[in-house]
Amino acid sequence: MKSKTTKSLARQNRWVGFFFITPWLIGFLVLQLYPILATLFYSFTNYTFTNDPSFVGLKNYIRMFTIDKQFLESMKITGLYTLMAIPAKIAFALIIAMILNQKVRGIGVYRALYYLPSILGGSVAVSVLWRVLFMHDGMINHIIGTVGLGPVDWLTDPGIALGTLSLLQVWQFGSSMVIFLAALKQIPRDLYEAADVDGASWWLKFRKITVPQVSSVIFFNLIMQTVQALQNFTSAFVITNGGPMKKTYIIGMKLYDDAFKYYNVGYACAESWALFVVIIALTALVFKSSDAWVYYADEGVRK
Amino acid sequence: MRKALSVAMVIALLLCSFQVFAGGAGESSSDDGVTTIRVAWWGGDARHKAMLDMIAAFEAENPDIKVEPEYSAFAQYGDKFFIQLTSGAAPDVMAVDQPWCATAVQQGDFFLDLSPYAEQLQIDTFDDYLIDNYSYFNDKLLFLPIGINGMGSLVDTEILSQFGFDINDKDFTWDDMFALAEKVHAANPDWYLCCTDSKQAALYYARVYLRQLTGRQLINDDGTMGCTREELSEALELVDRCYKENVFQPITISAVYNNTMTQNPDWLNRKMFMILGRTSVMTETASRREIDGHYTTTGYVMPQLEGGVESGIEVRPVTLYAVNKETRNPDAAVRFLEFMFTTEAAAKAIGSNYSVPAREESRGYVADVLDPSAIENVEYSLANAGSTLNAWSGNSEVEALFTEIMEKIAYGQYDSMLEAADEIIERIGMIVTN
Amino acid sequence: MRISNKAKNVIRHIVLIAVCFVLIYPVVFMFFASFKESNEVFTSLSLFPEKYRWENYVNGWQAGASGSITFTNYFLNTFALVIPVVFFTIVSCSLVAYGFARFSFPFRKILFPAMISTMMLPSTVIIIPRFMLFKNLGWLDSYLPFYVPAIFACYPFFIFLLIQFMRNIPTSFDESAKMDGCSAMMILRKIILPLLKPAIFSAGLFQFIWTWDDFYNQLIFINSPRKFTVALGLRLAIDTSTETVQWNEVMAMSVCTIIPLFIIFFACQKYFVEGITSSGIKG
Repeated sequence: MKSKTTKSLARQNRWVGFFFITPWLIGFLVLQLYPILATLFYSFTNYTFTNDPSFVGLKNYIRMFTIDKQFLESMKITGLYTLMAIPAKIAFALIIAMILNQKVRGIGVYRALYYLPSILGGSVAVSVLWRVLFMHDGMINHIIGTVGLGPVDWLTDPGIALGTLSLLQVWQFGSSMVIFLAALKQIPRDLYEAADVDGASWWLKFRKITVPQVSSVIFFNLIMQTVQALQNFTSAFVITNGGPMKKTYIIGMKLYDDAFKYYNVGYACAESWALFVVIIALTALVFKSSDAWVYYADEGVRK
Repeated sequence: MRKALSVAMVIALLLCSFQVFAGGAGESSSDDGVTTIRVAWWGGDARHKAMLDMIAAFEAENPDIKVEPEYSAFAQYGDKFFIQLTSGAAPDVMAVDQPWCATAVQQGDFFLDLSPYAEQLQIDTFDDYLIDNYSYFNDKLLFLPIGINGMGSLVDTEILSQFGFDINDKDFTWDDMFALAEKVHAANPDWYLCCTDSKQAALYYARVYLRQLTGRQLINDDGTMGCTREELSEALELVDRCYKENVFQPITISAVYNNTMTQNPDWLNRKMFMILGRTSVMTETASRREIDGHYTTTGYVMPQLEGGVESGIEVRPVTLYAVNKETRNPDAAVRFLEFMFTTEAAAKAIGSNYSVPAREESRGYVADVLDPSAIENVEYSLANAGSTLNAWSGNSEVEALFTEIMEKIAYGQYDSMLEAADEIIERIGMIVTN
Repeated sequence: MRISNKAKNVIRHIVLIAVCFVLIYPVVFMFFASFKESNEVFTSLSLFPEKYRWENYVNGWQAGASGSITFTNYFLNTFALVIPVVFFTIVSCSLVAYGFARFSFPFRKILFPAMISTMMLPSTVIIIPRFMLFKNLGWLDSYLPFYVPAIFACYPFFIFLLIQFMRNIPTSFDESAKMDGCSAMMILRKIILPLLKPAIFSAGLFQFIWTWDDFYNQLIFINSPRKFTVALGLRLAIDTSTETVQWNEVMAMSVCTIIPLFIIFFACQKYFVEGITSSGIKG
């Protein structure tokens, strides 16, 4: 019923919303649409930076699926990487956010310290730090060595390197954590108070109050982190450089190499569009599913 | 809240206007008769400092020209080079890496023909070998080499002499290398003769061996293979043996240092004793080791193949400089190059930052700062140079393919090197047809 | 009861510190490595340096080479780049998010997916035509390629983030304000934005940190070292074509670059978690 009133109110000034989004619309039309369409155009050409691009039809797309075996291989690796990294990262971020949401003296310092790994980002120092941790004679192997395990070739064993790489993703959980913290604070306190009166357990409160109340933000983090992971190239670039034997050659890195190292810009654009379609399809799927599990307080203005 | 917001807004706008103003000030140049040229190069701190000193000296002598320097590290320079070139945003004078020259010239007309200025630039005083092989494309003088790179090895003579290694043995062969490596590894199971990574294994072991064996290009100018699968597999066999016979450290340890092999603690801690490579890299690695109090020196040994067709030693420019064809001030750009390449002041400022200078006269100006072993290495390489590498054989995608195959060999992915050779031949075919 | 509470508190701190140590060990390593000797960074497994070399900071700061250009310039440039970008992003993205979250309007059904999808095309290739575009606009080697997209809300991530948080604010708030005669703009300013403070602070913080770290765009659009940011200045010290990388100094400058970010995070964190909790949002 409420949504009906909103709707009718909104209908009275149909262009009010339009007014608010004009900055974006201008930016989109002037700054974003052209580059997007240009890459679509390049994807049907043999553009190499330095030549006059000439039209080659679907050749780039055909090459991707027939000749260049690395493309599907890299897509597979990227999918695996995302599957390993993102659920773990989001769960970890939510758990840490709940821990850091407590009233403990000096909690602000903890929050800032826990965010430190994310501040580092793709910084140049990260490559050295991860090597120190994970190399043959590294920190981790020394630690597991004391209990008689290892040594494990974390970065150079073809079966393990991708897992080590996704650990870096999980380690930089900070931005998801911050968003969760903000969301946790938006939850009305009285919901918990009511539950306490009923004597609900911690787990029940988590399931019945916390998760539904932050579901819109879980949804947001899931989409954003997935999109980001599927496009990621810095972590592989900085740490494994795609190796060993291309087992961590994620698609973002392949795109970069094809465009900026081998100058096959047309082909790289085609690969980007293929990746784009996959990402769009995945996102649409998550958006579709969101009706079933995401709770909004505005009761769906958009519907 | 509102107060904080308005303060933030004022700061933001101030910073913006500051930026826009600063940007604007840079552009408005030629009013007072001063021309501004942009000069771009890559390098490390020492080279930047040397170049900036050189530019200061140039500006002092040429008050009508102002140089806007644009410098960065090699990886970043490479990322931007072609996109700038093709969009017309390239600087007036720019450093070019040798493998980029052919790629760029093949596809467009980006560089100014310097032939009309040949006399001003004293082209005849440059080393002929470099000018003949690397400067001219389609009879146009496009690139000026600043330094010369030979090939050889960096050797820990102190330790290796204990195993009977002789730095003056110019006939050091691959078999000698294997014999030496065996003794080294037998003395201490943590010791390996050569420090390398997959790319180095491709460029300085397999490719050099192949050149020695065949004397031909890996890929001919028309894109067909320049060697047979048997020849190629023999060259790959060399790398396979290096891993199997402990010339190289096991790949699972060394692969962490791909592209950064001199950071390998086992190299820094003197558990490996030899690096094959180009002069400039070797001298800089050596100088860094000296700071650390180790005694290591450059040698001139590039392992040879008994009965080989050629030395496999490739002589190429350290860096080339070119002028943008679209430059609005070609005369100023050429005057800058003239100063940079031919004057004593410039040569002294640059010092050893571009390895051994490509002009004999400039070599004289900086003799006191050049590593004598570097000069000897370059002279030896020039005297014994093999053929130069053509565009296809030095293509970055082909080199990446070779590097990948080296890694797979190291991980023992092939039953025989013929199998690996077949994969290379097949995939080179794909690269060439695209 | 009190004692057990105290014990609980101690346990909490122990857990917090233990997890913290594991998480930030690499950062601690970086801190101590910044005092080491260059090769010691790689050869020594020990966390602590043999000797504390403060000169790493001095030398790193002066960026070895460039004499007149030091990290002082890089830092000033970075602030000149980042602060306006953050400010414009917050203003423009709040407006746009409000439009999308609270109104239905013509073409909304097409524009919203279009907005979301702009972040799904890999930026690696998008940057190529964008470079050409900015070149033709004459914006290269200035900070305009960063300011202008911020002014025009070209950051779908933040729009989407703010939309998600706005949707957790019940519409009944807007409606009662509307009854009181508030305009749409006033509702945004008086009702939505105050309730959205946690999200806005996180968005601003992210934009600050990400723009600060965004090496790739800065690399492509900025040429002159006198306009370099810290991200570019740091990369300047790592040249792989020569073997002279002083990793100890790189570590020292990496520590310097994250200090401002750490301080800003620490200063902001109370805003994005301590907003309007006690009154809460009643549905």
